[in-house]
Order: sequence, then structure tokens, then C-alpha cells
Amino acid sequence: MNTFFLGVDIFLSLLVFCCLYRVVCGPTIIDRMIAVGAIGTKTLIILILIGFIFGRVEMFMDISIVYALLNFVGTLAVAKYFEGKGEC
Amino acid sequence: MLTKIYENLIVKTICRIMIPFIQIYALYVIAHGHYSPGGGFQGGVILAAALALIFLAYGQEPVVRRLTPNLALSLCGIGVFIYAGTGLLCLLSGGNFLDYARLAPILGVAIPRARSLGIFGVEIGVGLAVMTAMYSIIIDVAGNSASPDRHAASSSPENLNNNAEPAA
Amino acid sequence: MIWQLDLLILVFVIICALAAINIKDLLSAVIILGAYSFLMCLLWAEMGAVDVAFTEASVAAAVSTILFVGAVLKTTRRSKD
Repeated sequence: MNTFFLGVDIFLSLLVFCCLYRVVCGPTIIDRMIAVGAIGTKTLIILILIGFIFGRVEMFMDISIVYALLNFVGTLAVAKYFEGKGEC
Repeated sequence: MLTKIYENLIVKTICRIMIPFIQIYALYVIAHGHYSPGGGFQGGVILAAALALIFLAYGQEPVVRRLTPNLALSLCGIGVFIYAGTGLLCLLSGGNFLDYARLAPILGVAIPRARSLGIFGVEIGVGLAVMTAMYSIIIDVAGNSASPDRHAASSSPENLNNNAEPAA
Repeated sequence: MIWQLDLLILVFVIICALAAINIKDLLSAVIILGAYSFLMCLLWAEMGAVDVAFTEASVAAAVSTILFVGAVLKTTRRSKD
């Protein structure tokens, strides 16, 4: 079972790499914001799977709940900047 | 005009739903610090994040009206006082600093329970101090400019110009 | 300590860090640092340091981005070099 979870982990990390391309090379800033949100969602799933591999899933669940609750605050902050200064 | 009515409606509704859950989760993190990952500092930062969400969604005025900067700094001092006061109480009872076993005769419970309550008190103090400190920093850095009457007496531009003129 | 995941995430972290330094638009650099902090939290958790991962998650997901955006708001948005 550990090998299956490790395989899923590596596959999700390769998907993170696809989102990282859009973070690094995105022509506008909105591309980067959406890609960071997608990376946050994948991160919290990889965290729970790491918890299964280590055998103590209840510890890693807490960190995942933090990301699930607070993923969108960064996007809100940048949107507030655009509201103050105008789209640029 | 419709855009003026519905401006920020989605953000305000989502924040109104999410903020109580974030605050209850922060209290869970503070209370279970001795067993789960987390503790006083992490719970305090998550509480400050809930206040920052109100600041981002509704503007600066509602959150500053509820928790003024003076009250925030006073609560920060009270948090440090709870933390240091617990340690000092252990010191005054004849033990080392933060030696919770000496709290057992004062509280009237057994020694393991006194240690557990001592750790819990320290976590609450740290959580309060961290929450108010992070809140003050966010309001100072990302808020609209500092209140003008704090700096008017000492270093406003009018005073500097008036001091330069008699020499000229 | 899972060495396959460790190697992969270290490569991503280096890519993010180099991109955040070389970019001229400071607001985009702030967002790339947000992605950098997600990957650092994964790295800490995979090494077994759950308290450090929790601190990184809570500080960087909520507070650090707001402070950086506030700093960029009060200064320029394009870096001079």
C-alpha cells in the first residue's frame, strides 16, 4: 500500500510541475494567482498521503485543514491592491 | 449603479461564512498544542489571519472599531504577563522558573494535573500575545496611513518650515 | 524521509527561488514566493518536522502575503535593477 501512495505522490508532484510552469512564465499576473491556488490544493492532498506513508495520519490532517481554510487570503490581498491602484 | 450595490458581495459572503470556522479551529490548535502539532504561536497566527480576513473584505474601519490599536497593545502586554506570571508563580512557590509541579498546592490538584494546567495557561498567554502583535503589524503596514494627530506635535512639515523661516 | 519526493520538491523549490529573484515585476515576485512557501511546507512535513510545517503553513499562507503586498503598495512596483 505504501508503494501505491508513493506513486500517487510522485504523479501529483509532476502535476505541480505543470502548474509551476504557469507560475514562472505566465505573461499576466492573474495566471500566476490562479496557478498558486491550484498548487495549494495539490499540496494539501500530498500532505495527507505523506501522513499515510508515515503511519500517523492524524498529525498531518491538521496542516491540511490550515491550507484548506486559508488558501484564498493571498489572492484576496492582491485583488485589494488592484482595487486600490487600478489594473496594471 | 448595480455594480455599486453588488460590489464585493461574493467576498463579503464567503468571509462571513468562513471566519467563525477559522476562529474555532485556531482555538482547537491552541488547546491541543501539547499533543497535536500546533500550540500557542500557530493558533495565535491563525486568529490574526481571521482578523486580517475581516480587514480585507470589509475595509479598515469595522475591524479597527472593534479592536482599537491601544486595546490590541494592552492585550499583548496581558498575554506576556500571563506567561511570565505563571513562571513567576512557580518561582515564588519555591521551585525553578516554569516548574509546574509547585503549582499543585496552590490549585489544590494532583501534580500531573497541575503540570497540564500550567502548560495550558502558558499556551493561552502566548496565543493572546501573538494574535495582537500580528494584528498590530498588519494594521500598521497594510492599512491606510497612520493617524495624523499622533505625529502632529513633533515632526509635521509645518513645524519644520516655521523653524527654517526665521533664520532666512 | 522519502527520497524520491524529497529530490523532486527540492528541484521545484530551486526553480521557484530563481524565478522570484530574476523577475522585474515585484507583485509577481510576491506570488511566486507564495508558491515557494507551499513547497517548503511540503518539504518540512516530508522530513518529519510537523510543527515547523504547521508554522510555515499558518504564517506564510495568511500573514506574509498581506505584509508583502502592503510593502509593494507603499513603494514602487517595478524593481530598479
